Amino acid sequence: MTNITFVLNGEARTVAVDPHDVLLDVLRDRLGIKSPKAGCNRGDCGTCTVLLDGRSARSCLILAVEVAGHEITTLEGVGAECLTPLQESCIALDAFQCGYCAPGVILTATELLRDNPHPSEEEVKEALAGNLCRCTGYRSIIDAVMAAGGSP
Amino acid sequence: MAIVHQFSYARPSNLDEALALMDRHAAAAAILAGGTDLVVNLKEGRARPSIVVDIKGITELQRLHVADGKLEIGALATFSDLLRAESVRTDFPLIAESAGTVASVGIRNRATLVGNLCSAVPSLDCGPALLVHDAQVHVVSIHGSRAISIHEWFTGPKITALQPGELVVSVSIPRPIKPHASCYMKLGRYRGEDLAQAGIAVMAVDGFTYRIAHSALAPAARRARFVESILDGAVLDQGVLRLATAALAREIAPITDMRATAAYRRHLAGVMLERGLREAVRRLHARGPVALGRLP
Amino acid sequence: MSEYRFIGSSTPRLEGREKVAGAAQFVDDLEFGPNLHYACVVESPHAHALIRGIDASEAEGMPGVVRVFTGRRESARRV
Repeated sequence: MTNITFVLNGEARTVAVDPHDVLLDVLRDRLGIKSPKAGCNRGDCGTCTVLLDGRSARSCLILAVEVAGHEITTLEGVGAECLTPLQESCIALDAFQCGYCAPGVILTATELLRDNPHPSEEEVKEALAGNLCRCTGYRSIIDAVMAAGGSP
Repeated sequence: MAIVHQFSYARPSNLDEALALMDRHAAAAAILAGGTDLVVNLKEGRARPSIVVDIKGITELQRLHVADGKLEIGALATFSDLLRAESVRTDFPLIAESAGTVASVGIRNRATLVGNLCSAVPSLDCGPALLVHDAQVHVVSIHGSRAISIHEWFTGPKITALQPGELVVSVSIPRPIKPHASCYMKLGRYRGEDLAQAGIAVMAVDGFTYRIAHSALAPAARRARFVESILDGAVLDQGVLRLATAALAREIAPITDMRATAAYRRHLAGVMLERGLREAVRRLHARGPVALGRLP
Repeated sequence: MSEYRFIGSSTPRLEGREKVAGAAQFVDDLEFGPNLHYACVVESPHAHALIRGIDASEAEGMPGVVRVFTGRRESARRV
């Protein structure tokens, strides 16, 4: 085992890992960060999404050793003080039902809105194409992201 | 889901260190860049390396620039890097267009074009674009370096001309001198993570020559030379298009798998070829920005 | 037409805030401590076969295996 240090939600954390440890498992089982979920475990569903140096990435496809020296943000680190406009519009427009996909969707949309503050509906759909939702059928999620981007 | 197989991990900071490790471990070494294929293969037991060599610490592999009319894509350039690069979008729009069809944002932020080339699945989205551009793959080992033509790169499903101990450093893509326009058609079941059921890239070059390549329609991505010879010098009319689609049907060898039947692929390949040719010609004559993304 | 309080209007989801903040707990998020055991179901490799006997001795001898449950043993225990 080797110790790796990385910034997790703004705080430096050190954890002992083996080369074959997957980031998602280390976050959930050793660091108590439960918002990234295990879904398909092969990069298809988007529930394990984290921001790696500000860009959305699949934590189920990253070895924990790879993130040494990098910055990881999970949903716990977004709107911790006060919810972001995107999170507020997700509540107001009832974007989620069971909420299992919410962490991945919100992180992916956070990246989109940072790079492109007023996306078109097509751009929202393209950005979220890798985040599967089995409850709300996407309409309310797309509406919530559009509303956060200033479009009614 | 944990990885059961045990391996050691190395993160060399320069090319020499990486090549020495690869020479020592040969076929037992697995290269890690974006990891979007490798980690799945480790989890599912298809990859059982004794060492994983993470090349992300080798800064010279990050290069992505245009020089002497050639685009050079380093082994660490991700599909998102390609989509963000102004020089790629304006001067190599086919590369950007096909990069934009790969999986989803969260994958494109990590997955590299060179990794896609090395995995060499028959359905790879970057294959047709590189084939019509006559790209070169640059590889190094402790014994030296060599350039491999993209036409000799794919030797079978998931098999390439890369030898144990060799590392791909970059892909270089020449820009045709004559005015040209291109388009990538991808057939998929849905947006997001789906692999191509069929992919066709078309480049129309001023003077009525056409370059055509396909993926997911044969054991490996390749150029449709027979179709190209039929179209050479021709103005696209109904008769020529009919000949071309018939030629393509003879040139491909689609299979039936979970994504589509062979008959469906064969039929749609003809439709895609015709639409791709029309769109590439339309873009050739319509000056101005080319819309990126999926076509109807 | 009378005015209804709930019919015809949207009601904000009670647990909406937890869900968008990453604080909602799903079953897999619950912590049971180090004594959590894991179970694995072993099925007959033959469809519609008669189970004449189950020899679990090899499995029971493996390191970390706490117990093997079989239908015969558990029903015997209950009686």
